[in-house]
Amino acid sequence: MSKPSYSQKGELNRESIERMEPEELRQWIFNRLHGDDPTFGGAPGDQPHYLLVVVYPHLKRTIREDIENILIDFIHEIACDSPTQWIGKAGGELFLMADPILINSPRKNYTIDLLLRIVAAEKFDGAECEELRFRALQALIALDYHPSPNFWRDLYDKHGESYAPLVLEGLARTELSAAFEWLGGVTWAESLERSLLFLMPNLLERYGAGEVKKNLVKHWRNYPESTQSALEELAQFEGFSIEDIAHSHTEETWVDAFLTMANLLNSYLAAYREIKSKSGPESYTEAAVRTIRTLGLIIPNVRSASVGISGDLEGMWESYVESLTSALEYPELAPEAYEQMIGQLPLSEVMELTGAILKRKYLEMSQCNKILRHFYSADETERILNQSPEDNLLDILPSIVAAFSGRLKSYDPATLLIEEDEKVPRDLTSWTSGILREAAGADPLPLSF
Amino acid sequence: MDFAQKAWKVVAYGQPAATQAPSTHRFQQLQWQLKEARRLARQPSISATFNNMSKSVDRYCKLSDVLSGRPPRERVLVVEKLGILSDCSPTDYQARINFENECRLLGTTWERLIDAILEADFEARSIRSAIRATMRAFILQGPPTRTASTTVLGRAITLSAMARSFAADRYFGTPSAAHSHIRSMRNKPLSYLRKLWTDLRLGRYLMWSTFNKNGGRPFADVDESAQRVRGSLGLSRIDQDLPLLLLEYLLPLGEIARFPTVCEAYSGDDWIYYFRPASDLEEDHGWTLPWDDSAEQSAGLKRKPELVHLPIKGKQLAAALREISDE
Repeated sequence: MSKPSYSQKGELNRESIERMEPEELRQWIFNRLHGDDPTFGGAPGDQPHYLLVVVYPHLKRTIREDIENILIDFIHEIACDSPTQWIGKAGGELFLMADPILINSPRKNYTIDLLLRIVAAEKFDGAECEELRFRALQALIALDYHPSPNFWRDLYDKHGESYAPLVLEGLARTELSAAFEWLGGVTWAESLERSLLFLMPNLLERYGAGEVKKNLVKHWRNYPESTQSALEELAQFEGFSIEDIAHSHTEETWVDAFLTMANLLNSYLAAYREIKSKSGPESYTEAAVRTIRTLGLIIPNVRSASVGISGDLEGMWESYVESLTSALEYPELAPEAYEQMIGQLPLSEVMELTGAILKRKYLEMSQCNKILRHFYSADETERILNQSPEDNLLDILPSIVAAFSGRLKSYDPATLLIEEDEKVPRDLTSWTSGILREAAGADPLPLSF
Repeated sequence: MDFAQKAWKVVAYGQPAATQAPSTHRFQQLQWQLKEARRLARQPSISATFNNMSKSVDRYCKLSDVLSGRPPRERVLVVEKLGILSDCSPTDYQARINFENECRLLGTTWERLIDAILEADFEARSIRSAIRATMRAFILQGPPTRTASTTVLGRAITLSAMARSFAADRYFGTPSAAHSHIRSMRNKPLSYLRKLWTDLRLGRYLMWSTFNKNGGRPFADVDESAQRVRGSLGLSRIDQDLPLLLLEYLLPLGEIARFPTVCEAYSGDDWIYYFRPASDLEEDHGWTLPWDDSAEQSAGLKRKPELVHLPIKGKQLAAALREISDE
């Protein structure tokens, strides 16, 4: 029986492997993985499979295929026959060869099926098989198996922190956002921070800095401060701008502040009549007007928030529109609320809103005219005021909310231009430049106080 | 039949299983058996005394010192089985020579090794397995080296081997992710490296390290090629086309560096070809065994000081990771 030959210096003769018959090759690999290939003069600490992994790419294609098939046969033996002689280190060595040996095999899918059988089988539930099961999971990741995120999350729930690197990498390979979503929700532990920091270079190589950053930002606030600092430091070294993350974080704070203010205004307006009857004529109005103005001041920052921000943005805009429409019911608050709304809405919604307001007599035609002139030309203003009035303000609220929400989500000049095109007669130059300026977020829309 | 007679018979007729013409190292093996048989036959009178002594006072000694205290039948068997082993490959042959020359194993360790070899079958696989199992039980028991606690130690390893070690230690889901991570850590500042790797073990069971006998860093010569570093440390040639990562570190306080012995060399799954135990004249530390072929890349390679110790963690690193190649 032939076996690999070695020089007097312990060098492996690769051709001697290529001369081996499949059965001889099988026996040699089996022995080697079981720590019984003494003829090789290895380096201290090298794992038995390392030799195969290093030699494999240099072998003839036919021999590489033989090796792939032998490894798959071994895995089949574990999954379907008796795993006894593979329990422990030898099985681990076998599975660690998934990458680079099995990853390109035409029988990769069959291998994945076998590995899944091992992972699921009750006979591998015992502590003595833990190593084998863990390595099988590592092999599944290496073979780019993409199960549902629950597959990995359940593993963490069952095995705890020691599986953190495995689960995180499994999730990230399946779906990057699922990995960060899981990190954002799981009870934090030091091992998670380390796993994330260790895996980051691989994620950056695999998905690019932009994608990683986007996902990082989404759950930024869920990470402990120490993890945030560590990620900031890592980002600095990896060459992507941490200011972006910090900025997004600030923007998320703006959204929170905005929502809080809108809710505050809602609550205030709900009790407005009662407050009005008890307080002096100036104080109750001033509080509401100040709140509306503050919302108007925050708006540019909210608008520049990135699409990556988590949370119920639709709900935020609903709350905001609800506050402003409630304010329209009071003559002393209506001009402020109306001005703020038309300052941000597309012309189609401005027309609908103005029609409904005039119909309900919340504002006089002259008041509307004066406010509209801050934003539109004389011709445009006239056209807005002369349209047929809407019957019911409530009917147009959904489209107003959608307009706010939509503009936040698709905040690029091209989309806005396409959406608005042909809807309105206008001074094209000022209209276009207004939209571009607004979209760039550099120059907030004019508000007069 | 006494030991000497049996050994002579082996020389005269060859072993029963031997069918091929004796190769060079086969001939050397037979010579060794003959020499050993003659030597042991000359000193039967002191064997019992030494046997008693080695049991009562455990001290560093040679295999022959302990073997001579065993009954002749056992001596014959041990020599015969080591002979079977050394016929398998250059590495096995060198292992047998190293067992003969090793002088820094405790008497009790040799006794256990002899017992294990005696229990093994007459086949190389069984003998090797017995040796490995015994050696594993006695790693890091050689004498402490004479090195200052401030000595900067060094280790060279390929990125791929290190990545596979990290994945095996479960720091990563896959070797590929570990590879990306280590790749990104090259040339990162030391402070950052130490922080991120603070609890990361940089070896699995034990670590072999070199150092600069004149003080300073072990890999101070930045111009040295990967091949020459590999050659002077006597590393494996199997991955010699890959670049090397150089790690430099200090031992933690209280950690003892020791002479490398056959226990460390033959406790692993792969036995090390480029290893020779330090001679009994060495008082300070062991030495690496550089490649000794005539290839140009190996010309003028100098041996380096060598020692073994428990695996260290990343917080012990004393310099940033450095990668060298042959380009």
